[in-house]
Amino acid sequence: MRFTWIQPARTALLALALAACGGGGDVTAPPADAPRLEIASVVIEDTGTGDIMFSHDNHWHGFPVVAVGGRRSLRVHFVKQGRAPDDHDMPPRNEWFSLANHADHSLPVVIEDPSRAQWEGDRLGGTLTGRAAGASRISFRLFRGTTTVWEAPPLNFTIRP
Amino acid sequence: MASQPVIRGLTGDRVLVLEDGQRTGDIATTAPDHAVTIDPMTARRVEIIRGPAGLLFGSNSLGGVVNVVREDVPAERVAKRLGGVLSGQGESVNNGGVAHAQLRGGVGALAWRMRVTWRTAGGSRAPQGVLPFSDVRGHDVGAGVALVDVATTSGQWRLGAAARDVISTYGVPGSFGGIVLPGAHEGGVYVDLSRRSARVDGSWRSNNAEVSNSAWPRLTQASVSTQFVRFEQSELERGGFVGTRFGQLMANGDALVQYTRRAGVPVRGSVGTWAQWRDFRAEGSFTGTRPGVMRSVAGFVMEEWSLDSLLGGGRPVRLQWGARLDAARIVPLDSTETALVRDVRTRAFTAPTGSVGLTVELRPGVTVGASAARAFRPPAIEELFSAGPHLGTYAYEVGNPQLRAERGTGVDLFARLARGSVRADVALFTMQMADFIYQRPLVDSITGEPVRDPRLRRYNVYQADQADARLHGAEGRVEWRVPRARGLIVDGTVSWVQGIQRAATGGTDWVALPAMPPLRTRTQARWEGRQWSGSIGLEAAAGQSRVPPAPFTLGATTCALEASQAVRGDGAPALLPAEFCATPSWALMNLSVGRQWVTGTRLHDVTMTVDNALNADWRDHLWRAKQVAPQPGRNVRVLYRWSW
Amino acid sequence: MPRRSSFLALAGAALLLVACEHPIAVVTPHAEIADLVFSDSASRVVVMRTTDNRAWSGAPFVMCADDVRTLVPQAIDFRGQSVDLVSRRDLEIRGESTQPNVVWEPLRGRGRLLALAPGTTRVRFLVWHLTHADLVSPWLEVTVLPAANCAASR
Repeated sequence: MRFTWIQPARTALLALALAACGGGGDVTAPPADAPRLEIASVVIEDTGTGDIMFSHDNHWHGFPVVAVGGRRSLRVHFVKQGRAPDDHDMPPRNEWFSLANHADHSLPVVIEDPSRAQWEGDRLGGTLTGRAAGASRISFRLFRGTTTVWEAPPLNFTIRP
Repeated sequence: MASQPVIRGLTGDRVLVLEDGQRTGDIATTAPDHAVTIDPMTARRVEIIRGPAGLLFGSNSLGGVVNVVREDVPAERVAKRLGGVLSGQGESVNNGGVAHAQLRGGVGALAWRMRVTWRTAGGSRAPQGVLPFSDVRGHDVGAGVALVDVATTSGQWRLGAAARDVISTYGVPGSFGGIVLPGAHEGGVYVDLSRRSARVDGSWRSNNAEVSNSAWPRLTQASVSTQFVRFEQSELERGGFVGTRFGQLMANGDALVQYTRRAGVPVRGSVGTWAQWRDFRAEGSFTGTRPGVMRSVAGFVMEEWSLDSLLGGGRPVRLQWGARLDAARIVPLDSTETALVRDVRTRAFTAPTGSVGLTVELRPGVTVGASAARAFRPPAIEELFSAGPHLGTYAYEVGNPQLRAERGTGVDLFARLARGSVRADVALFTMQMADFIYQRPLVDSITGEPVRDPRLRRYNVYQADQADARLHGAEGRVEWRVPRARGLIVDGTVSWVQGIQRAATGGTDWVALPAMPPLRTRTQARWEGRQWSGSIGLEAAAGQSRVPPAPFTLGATTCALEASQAVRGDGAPALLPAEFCATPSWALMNLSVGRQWVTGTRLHDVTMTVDNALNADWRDHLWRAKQVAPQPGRNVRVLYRWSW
Repeated sequence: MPRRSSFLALAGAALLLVACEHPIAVVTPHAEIADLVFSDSASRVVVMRTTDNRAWSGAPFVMCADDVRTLVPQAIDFRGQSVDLVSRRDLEIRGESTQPNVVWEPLRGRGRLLALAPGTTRVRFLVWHLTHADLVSPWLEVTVLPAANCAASR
């Protein structure tokens, strides 16, 4: 039988098709049911003093100060729009949004040294209570279910005697 | 789990994995979840090098050197203008497949080669269900061109270059059957890696390869090779959040000269030099992992003396010796101290290494030998300066800038038999290693619980530490060509290694080294006819209960957890990390059948293989999720290859 | 030989294909600074400092026109430790003022506050880390008196 290119080409195509079938889709893509929240920074508002702290890439501008035994009520907002590295102004209020309409998200908060302060709160914010004088850091990590959506740089805070 | 080789219980940086004689430039040796970016499907052959010859490649080769030969830069002239191989493989265990195409050709001295491999696979099926987030996909594309065997009056030249691009995405499962491993992400972790490399090779071969009669060395071969690699790896949570991102640039080069001389007996030798620059960085999730630059340089020499006439009475007697001097300097690009890592500073390491080996053919077909080696391994950048979470290993890794270099001494005794239809090898080995580097989980001295990372309280903290270690073991292999059954070969291998290290508490206590392989054996009967071939094999491993004791007195307490216990919440016991858990024994049966035929000048080859034919539940001792998840079950693979 | 030279070009191109910048730019860690302290470079007396980066002590800061005050800035972290601004070459103390009559000139390990003309202005200091500010101080009121007034009071 005269050899033609069709026979091996056909077989190779079959093999390639075998290789191509199955396999995963883009498994790192967000779930198709809802778009992933786009977050560039977080803004924390002290509802008592009016102080504003906000993250900017890997650092913060502003930090909470609490007295031992004192409490600070902090509300957490997020900002979608990123800022240039040399832009250290506070994001305008009209860009802030909260997680009030995102019940499937959670905001677990970890204090590096729990002997310094305690946090109680939910995805909208919480209360920072001073326990012992000194300093430590708070980590905010935004989850949707068990998947991390965004993480803030650690926020330093000071507990005054 | 990510396909790193384990030789005699050693893995990672202690087993040097090379591609065409050069380091790969990836970060496979830095952690068990980091894949080797070598595709065995495209290898022409795999060389395992031990003894003095290993010193030509590195100083840290007590575990051996694995050289995967691909010949990306063509080494031979190609008579055909165009030839190639097309192959495709599908497998059932993960609905996956691999497609591979290779083209090669040449005109006169010019030879070229191109290769493309594309791979995709879904989650692996185990007897108990699909292992989530164990899928993989990627491609490997490369091309090379060379002028080969260009004749001159003194010899023949070869000069070539090659470039390659490897991309791979694979999952690292963190849960199975509703149980999430400590520190793992229920949604799994994905690793995206990219490796881009280019190399230029040149060599010269003398027209006269005969052994010189002069005491003065006569050159027989010289080679120069240089390579540049850009490597990037991201570890992401499902949904795309980047937990950790690694990046590395590497450049290395070596020059080697081979010669012959006579020192009363014929001598063949090699002398050379090697240099490497490596810039490693990490970022993501505010890791604080420190970037560093490592510069290394080495000089080495190796000789083989033929002592037949002196000692052997005509029987081959070979004496090999090698010596190497390495110097390495590791500079952190950021010296900021943290609570866990202090005194971050430049480190320099210099050490000589050497090896000597003797093989004697006692009688035709019976050879015995022995070798001894001294090895040295400077700490890796990551072992010195890490400080941050590592998603793929479910750990927060902290470096130790005070680490000293590992120094090892190894002795091998071996015997080979090749008589008639039987081939057999047996080897005994022992290794003593001073300042063996390992990852030690930190324990809270007050609570006895694992120290968790300060920021997220999610990962156990591991810090690089070192202690003296000892390993010894044995390996054996037998191959029997059954005399009256043409083409039938029965072979078997067995390997055993035991390793101990001095306990972290100091004193005279010794504990088991982590990740030691159990006693393993493999037996296979295969038949190779002109058109048909087949095999049936058994692979088995004994249980491995020699594991280091868990340092935690509270917290993680058990190696086995039922899903119902996991969902109870408060009061449910916590899982120990895998390195403190024993592994049960297992046995697998593998089958294969194949046929090949020729049409004109084209060769067709179809092979069907059934791995784990009995769908056994088995756990590899290195599998970090072995407490909750099994290895893949029965897998039917069909490979078709067409070459011309 | 033309074949060899074109071949070498090919080899060089192969290397260039991969010879590109590092996938990760080196970013030294940001400086976690809580407060700034400025001391007179000659007397080492603290002339102004922030408290929780919210207010200045030593305010308002008074200078005379044409005066130059050489000050040594000190960055204090959240543990009360001083951040070494001399060895950390990636950090610099920059100044911004609302009026041009006061200018801050950063130098290595110190800086100069220049009073160019009489008037009242506000100045703030930034701990500049390569491309961005790790810390922005609150505004400090600076009053520059006319030279004649300063000479009379002396």
